[in-house]
Amino acid sequence: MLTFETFSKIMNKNRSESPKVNKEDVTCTNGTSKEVLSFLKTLNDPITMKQNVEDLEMSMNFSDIQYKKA
Amino acid sequence: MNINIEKELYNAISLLNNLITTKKFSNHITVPVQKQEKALDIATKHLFFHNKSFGIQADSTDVYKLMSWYGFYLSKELNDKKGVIYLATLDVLNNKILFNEVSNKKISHSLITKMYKMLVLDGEDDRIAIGKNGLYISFRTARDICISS
Repeated sequence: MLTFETFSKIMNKNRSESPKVNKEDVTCTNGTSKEVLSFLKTLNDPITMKQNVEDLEMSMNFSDIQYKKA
Repeated sequence: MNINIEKELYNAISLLNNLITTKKFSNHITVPVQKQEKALDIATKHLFFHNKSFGIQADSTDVYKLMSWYGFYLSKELNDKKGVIYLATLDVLNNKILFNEVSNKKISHSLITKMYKMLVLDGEDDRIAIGKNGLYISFRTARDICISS
């Protein structure tokens, strides 16, 4: 499983190597809302993470999806 | 201002990575950690390049972008012809990220199924596919409409 350390390393490397947006070129701002952040923070608790994964697994009904023929 | 929300973004990606290890998904696909790292690398390069290209000043990284593009590139890395990774990505975006942001609203099941079918065709028939940016903007549009209505 992808670890937080590796995740952080990849994010920071690509952020630092990417060209920055010049102030005069800014057309809009963007980011993750506080509502989503609040939810994502709850996933720091392993039990909550597990419950959410189980919810997701239950919510997806594979039989409803018609796979493309390989 | 650039808010550091790396742990929260990692949690979002972990939701997807944990989901695809559950029995329902792992019966269809195996996901090596190297593929996860490669997909994250390509997705984040695309993300920062996208922001630069469109003049987007990111106060923080947009979780819809990260999740859409990570799922897309993970599917590509795994040559996932059944679209199992797309299913998991749509599941997380719709039932957790969007649902928690816009007071328990979601994209309908029939539309999610249509999006899934269009994603599966990506790369093979681009005339009717949706692509990584289509996936992202679909959820951003749904979010904006829900918030403004």
